[in-house]
Amino acid sequence: MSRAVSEGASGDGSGPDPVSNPARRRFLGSVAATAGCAAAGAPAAAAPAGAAAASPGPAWGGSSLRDAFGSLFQDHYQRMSKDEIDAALARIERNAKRTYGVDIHCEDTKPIPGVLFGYALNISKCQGYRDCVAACVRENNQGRDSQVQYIRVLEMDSSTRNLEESEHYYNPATVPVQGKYFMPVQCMQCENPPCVKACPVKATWKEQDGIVVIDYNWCIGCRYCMAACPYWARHFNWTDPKIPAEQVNPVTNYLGNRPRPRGVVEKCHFCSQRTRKGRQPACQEACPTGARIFGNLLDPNSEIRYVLANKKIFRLKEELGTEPKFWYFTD
Amino acid sequence: MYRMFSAGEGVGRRPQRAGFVALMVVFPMALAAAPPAPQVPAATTAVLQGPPTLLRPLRENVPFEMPEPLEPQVFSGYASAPPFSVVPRIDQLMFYPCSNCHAALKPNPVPRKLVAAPHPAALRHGKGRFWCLTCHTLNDRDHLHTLTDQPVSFDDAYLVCGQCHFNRQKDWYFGGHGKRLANWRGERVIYSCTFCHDPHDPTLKPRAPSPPPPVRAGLRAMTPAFHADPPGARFRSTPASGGQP
Repeated sequence: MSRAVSEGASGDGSGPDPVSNPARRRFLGSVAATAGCAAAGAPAAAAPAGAAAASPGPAWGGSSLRDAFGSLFQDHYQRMSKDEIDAALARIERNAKRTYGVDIHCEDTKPIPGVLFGYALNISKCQGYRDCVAACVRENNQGRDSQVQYIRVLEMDSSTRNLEESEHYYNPATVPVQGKYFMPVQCMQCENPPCVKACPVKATWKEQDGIVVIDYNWCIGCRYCMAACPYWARHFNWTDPKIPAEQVNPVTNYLGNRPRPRGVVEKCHFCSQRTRKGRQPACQEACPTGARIFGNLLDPNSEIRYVLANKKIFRLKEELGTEPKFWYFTD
Repeated sequence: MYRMFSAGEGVGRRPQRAGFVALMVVFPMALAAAPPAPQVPAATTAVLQGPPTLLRPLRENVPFEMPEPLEPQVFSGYASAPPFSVVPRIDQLMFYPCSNCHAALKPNPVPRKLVAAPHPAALRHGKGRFWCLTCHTLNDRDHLHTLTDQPVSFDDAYLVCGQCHFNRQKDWYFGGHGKRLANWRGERVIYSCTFCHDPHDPTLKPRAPSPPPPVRAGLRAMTPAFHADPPGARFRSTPASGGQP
């Protein structure tokens, strides 16, 4: 069942195919689930139908029939009703239990009204420890085998701001290094994001609090967004992310750090599971030098606004017009 | 008026002088008919009175009234800074309260090198311009003091640091420096200076970084060896590489 936007699909529930007719989609989903229940329940007549439908099997890739069909017919996040979102969250939790053996809690954290997130990083203070990188990986359930890292710390020579001459794989005995400064790069959460424009299925969009999010169940893995992003902020899951059970972060949210499948693109989302509840993002909390400043751009008394008003700030690739919400500044 | 004072011929001088004298006679009379002079303190009037003069005292030149001297005050912060509380420091201090020992020891204000523990071996702060009692109080070892001898608790050590590092302190008050605890909104709890900067050796020491990210399969890290032989170099016909066209 193709989830790509087809030519005649208007999404108004009037077309004949399930893509443009959510009601038809739900009907087909329930019919398929019932038929599957009937088919699977016949040999195991003694077991209740619910248990038979929910039992995992190799035919569905380790998932259960109900969950496989449920995720297949799952609609776009921005079209799902509250019940459908809850069902999707429950599926994600069951999937994580099967995959990692961990009980996770997946939530649909909504943006806080009246908030637009901004981030500033003090390159006079960043010493290149990479504590932020490690904290992000721990917090956001990234695959330890694929070693996807949302943050990349660049070692720049003090004489230049040319990113082409930066060193990504610096590994000196101690940092800081004389004559170098360090600049961590992650998703800039642009106000004019090119990745959103490039996505052919609208699996990624900018939310009202400024975070550019991805619906991992809708992403088809074409990687157009990776080509569009000028900051190399997006990363593709070439493999099924493998995380040791004791390192899985059980506090997750749907558009954020919940366990992702293979074949989707992921990126920094300003730790939406934390920041939408008032907590600092993991990178800011981990930074020992206090080089990272995070807050609400719409609050004139916030720390980020003080930095933007009083410090020497710049943004990367300003000339592209992406309007990133990630600034760099010096003391 | 200009012609009166310019070096002119003698032909027009007498009428000019007459006019000048007339002016000198008429003008004070006009002055007498002028509105009364503004209230001027007696001291100023005495100074201003002297030879007959055209001078009217300037209203702005009221002599400066020295205000009453205030008691020295500890800096109370920036009014427009967002409110905050500071993580307490005293419970992190191993030997606090210092008066446990120092109540019994005789105070010695002579600057000297203190080698016995718990004193730090060296004071690498200020390039030799100050010593322990610049910040620590001679007769009250449980408090620091400002340069105006106001007592400061160890929990509020930022008040002592901010006497010299005032620019950094302003950034700290407003959130542009330092580290905030746990949340980006709501209750603002921040760390005091001495959590990160040892006041006896404030520069941050180098440490090892976390390991670098993996190089993707098929790619090479851009180390100096890479730049010596970058991809495609041997396919360029430049003399430097000496490669085949």
